[in-house]
Amino acid sequence: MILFRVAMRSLLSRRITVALTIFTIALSIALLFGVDKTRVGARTSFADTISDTDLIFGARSGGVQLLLYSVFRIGNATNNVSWQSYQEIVDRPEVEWAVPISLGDSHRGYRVMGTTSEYFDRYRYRGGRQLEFAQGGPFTDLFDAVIGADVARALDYNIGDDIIVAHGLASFSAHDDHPFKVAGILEKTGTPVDRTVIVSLEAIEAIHVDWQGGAQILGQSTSADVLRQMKLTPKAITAAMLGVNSKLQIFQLQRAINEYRNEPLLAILPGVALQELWEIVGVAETALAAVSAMVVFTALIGMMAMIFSGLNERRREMAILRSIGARPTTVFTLLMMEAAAMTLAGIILGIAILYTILWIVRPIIDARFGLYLPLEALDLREWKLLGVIAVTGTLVSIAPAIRAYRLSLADGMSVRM
Amino acid sequence: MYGVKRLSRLISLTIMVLLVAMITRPFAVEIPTELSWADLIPESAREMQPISPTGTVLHGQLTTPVPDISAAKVTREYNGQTIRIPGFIVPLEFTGSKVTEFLLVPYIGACIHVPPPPANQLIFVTSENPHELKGLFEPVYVTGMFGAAASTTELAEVGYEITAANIEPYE
Repeated sequence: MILFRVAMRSLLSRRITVALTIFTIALSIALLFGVDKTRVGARTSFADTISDTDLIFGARSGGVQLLLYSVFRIGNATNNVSWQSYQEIVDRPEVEWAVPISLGDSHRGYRVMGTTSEYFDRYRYRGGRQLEFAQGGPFTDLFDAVIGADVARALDYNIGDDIIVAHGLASFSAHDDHPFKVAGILEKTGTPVDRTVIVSLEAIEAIHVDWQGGAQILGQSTSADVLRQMKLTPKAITAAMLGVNSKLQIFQLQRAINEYRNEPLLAILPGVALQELWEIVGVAETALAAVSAMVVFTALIGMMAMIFSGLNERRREMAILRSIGARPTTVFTLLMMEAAAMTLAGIILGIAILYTILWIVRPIIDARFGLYLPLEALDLREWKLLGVIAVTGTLVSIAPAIRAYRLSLADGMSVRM
Repeated sequence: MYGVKRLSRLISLTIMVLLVAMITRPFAVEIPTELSWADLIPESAREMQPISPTGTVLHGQLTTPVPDISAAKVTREYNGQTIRIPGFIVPLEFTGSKVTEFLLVPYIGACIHVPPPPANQLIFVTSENPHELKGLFEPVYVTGMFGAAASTTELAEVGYEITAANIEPYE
């Protein structure tokens, strides 16, 4: 106990270098755990985006690509699925429910998605949670739109406001002859739905009635009332979400869709595609983790260097300890104790810094990148990692401690100083 | 003196703990039945099947799912038993980054030359302690209550399920 107090006092007397060393360790630990929290946050946020959907199908491309454009609105579809194929697949006995989606247009940077009103019942996120309306409700009129929470907040939209849908994902040619009305605003979900404008499939069809060959026919604009009377069966959709009657039929249905003869289609299990995505992203994640682990290691080496260089200026301190009866092993223990104390202080400060930063940047990251970082206590794995760091920190000080042990056998006790 | 007293107390305590553990063990932990995937194919479905009536395999012929009656048969022999079976995870539902619902399959990445695994080679697993999936190619042991339940479809498709499963890495 006395030794511990001596160690503390000794550290206090060198407070500037010690504080800097602790701060270095703390920053490195904050970085390591920050990278880890972001990784877990990103994974959770992705995995939480789709739930209770058994299969997704679209034009044949890659599994990850189909998942990304249909669920996360990242990237684009290679092709459409004809309405007839969609009907045929949906009529199969294994299918319990199906929700088609149609992508391709946008509104001021936010994607516009055409779907059926069943989407609001069937789309589930974060372990089966349903979409809820903050205001208004699903579309009733042809030109009604439902907007996500981020769209409403960023563009300051309220129920009844007009929205003009642009043709394409960013464009100068807008569907300005057919403005939509905001009919509903969804609650914040933490998923890409927040950044989506949802309209009916028929509406997507309607705004393209006057378009031919990729451009609007000059001067031609069918009035909204005429469009409302028209039969607007979509010709094609981008992708569809499916639910099966029995989970054991998933593979059968998937195979049947993949082998559909009239059109090249691809069906994926969202969970599997997600896992494939992790396997791709995993390499980058490992690289990031390795870099931050190296930073922690560098900080610990820095501490070792600091203890080493301190030995010289502490010769007198050691000599006094020796002269009042401290054994060389006591000196050894003292140095180990100092290193352990510094590592521990670094860990505590590092975790404090991490949570403070997390707490501050969380809303910003959520708003900017749609990445929801949970403020959770450290889990078992993280505690283990901290344990490893604490032990490593103590162990790296063995080298300077051995040197101090050697020196203190004779050094400073002789007359020559 | 003190040391001896403490030692004897420690020994008696250890014996007591061991005794209690021995007595309660058979009741607390039901030793699971080890199953292999072949066990899940009922006797009645094990007769030899004619491989191909024409004798030739045409390109794409085998890939279309054939309604194979014998493959849809399930055994009810293990219903209600706690069983342990190795397999691969095809994830269906997640809580955070952990898998809560999945299909357990005997092989991963169904070969494109044959139809997907038949109903009696799939197990639908729901787990109470979610499993952190390391990858699609991670073999696991699943232990849990086994059931061959007819799922509620007009096709009367049957299949296996394991509930309240414990998942551990396969070694």
